[in-house]
Amino acid sequence: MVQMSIIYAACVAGAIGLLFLLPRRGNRWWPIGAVLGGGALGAGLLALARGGGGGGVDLFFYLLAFLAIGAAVRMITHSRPVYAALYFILVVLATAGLFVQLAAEFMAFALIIVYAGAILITYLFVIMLAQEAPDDQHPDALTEYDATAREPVAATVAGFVLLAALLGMMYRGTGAMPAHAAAHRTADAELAVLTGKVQAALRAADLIRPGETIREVDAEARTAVAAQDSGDGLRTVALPDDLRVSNVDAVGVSLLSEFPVSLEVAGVILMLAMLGAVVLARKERVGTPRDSKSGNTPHDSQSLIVGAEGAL
Amino acid sequence: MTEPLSILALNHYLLLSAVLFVIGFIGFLTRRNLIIMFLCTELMFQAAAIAMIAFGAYHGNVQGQVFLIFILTIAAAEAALALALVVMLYRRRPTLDAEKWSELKG
Repeated sequence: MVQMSIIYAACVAGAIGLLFLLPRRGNRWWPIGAVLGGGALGAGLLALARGGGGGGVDLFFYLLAFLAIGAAVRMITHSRPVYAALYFILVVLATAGLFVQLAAEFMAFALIIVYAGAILITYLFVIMLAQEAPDDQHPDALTEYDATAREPVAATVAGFVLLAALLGMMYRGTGAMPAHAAAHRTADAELAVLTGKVQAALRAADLIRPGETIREVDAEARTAVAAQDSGDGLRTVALPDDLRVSNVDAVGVSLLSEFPVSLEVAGVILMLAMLGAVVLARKERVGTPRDSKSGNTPHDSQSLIVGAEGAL
Repeated sequence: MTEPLSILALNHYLLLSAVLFVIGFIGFLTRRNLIIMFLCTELMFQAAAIAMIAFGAYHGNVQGQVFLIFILTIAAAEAALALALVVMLYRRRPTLDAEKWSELKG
């Protein structure tokens, strides 16, 4: 059992450490914050490890968790936005590592591609687009709003009270959760609908003849019914042992069979967001003549800039 | 599918999720740069994603992962819209300070 006193003490120490780390002008106290915060994090993870790991948690979990939390702290305490975004990429990578630990490798790669590859790059673009220096003499100087935190004490106290409440609830109130065995599905049940995959695997293993197709798959008994194209010659073939449902198969079957409408709605949301972003970020073209010869200079940047200034 | 997660291991992941969420929460409250504030909401999305995947592994099904696909979709849409708004605001007045835009509050 995890010792709650250690968890609560780690929360308090972490809060004080984070307070020292939050950005302010001439922050000389950050080593204290780093020691306190790192100590709190280490103590918390150690309390977890002593409380009993097992069941899929090994050393890699602690390493990746330490990496994720450390990068997250550095992300909210770094006063330069570009570095904050880069530290967030580190958080994403650590999270993807944890997903691999949880046998969710498809989501791990999707996370890296979508988050680190697409979303964060957009953030970096906008950060660099909207960068400003306080004056021309010091292009590297920090702006006031990046260099100082807003109400650090109140925010940190509120955050860590929330954390302590969450953890207290988690370690005292989860006894009534249903055992996972009850909700468990039979392994490889998705094979029953993945006839194409079964057929390809059987054909690759030379278990069915070229003219035969798979009519039905019994995932429980691990057999398949094959038939000639003409419709006769039904026979039952045993599935090879190495034919398993991969993570991508399972996610795909669940996504398309259980949540098809949600998938469509997600597509609509994405398209609306794209339209909205285009409409919001569009520059107004004011006062540009729409004569018939404008086709000769379709990208008249001068008139675009003039138009933007007119819009302001 | 591999071995389902034990409740002890599930608690590990939930603790990590809670810590990341709270860090994102504190960052959202304390930072004044609009872009960093949105980045902190992405951190909170990450925390929710870890909880989803861990619960999915605990219950031995893939619905947690399916919901993560939707989380990713919403996060991408949110990022596109939020950043377009930031660009629009920045063009109107070249500052990213959330305090300077306090007249926008309803």
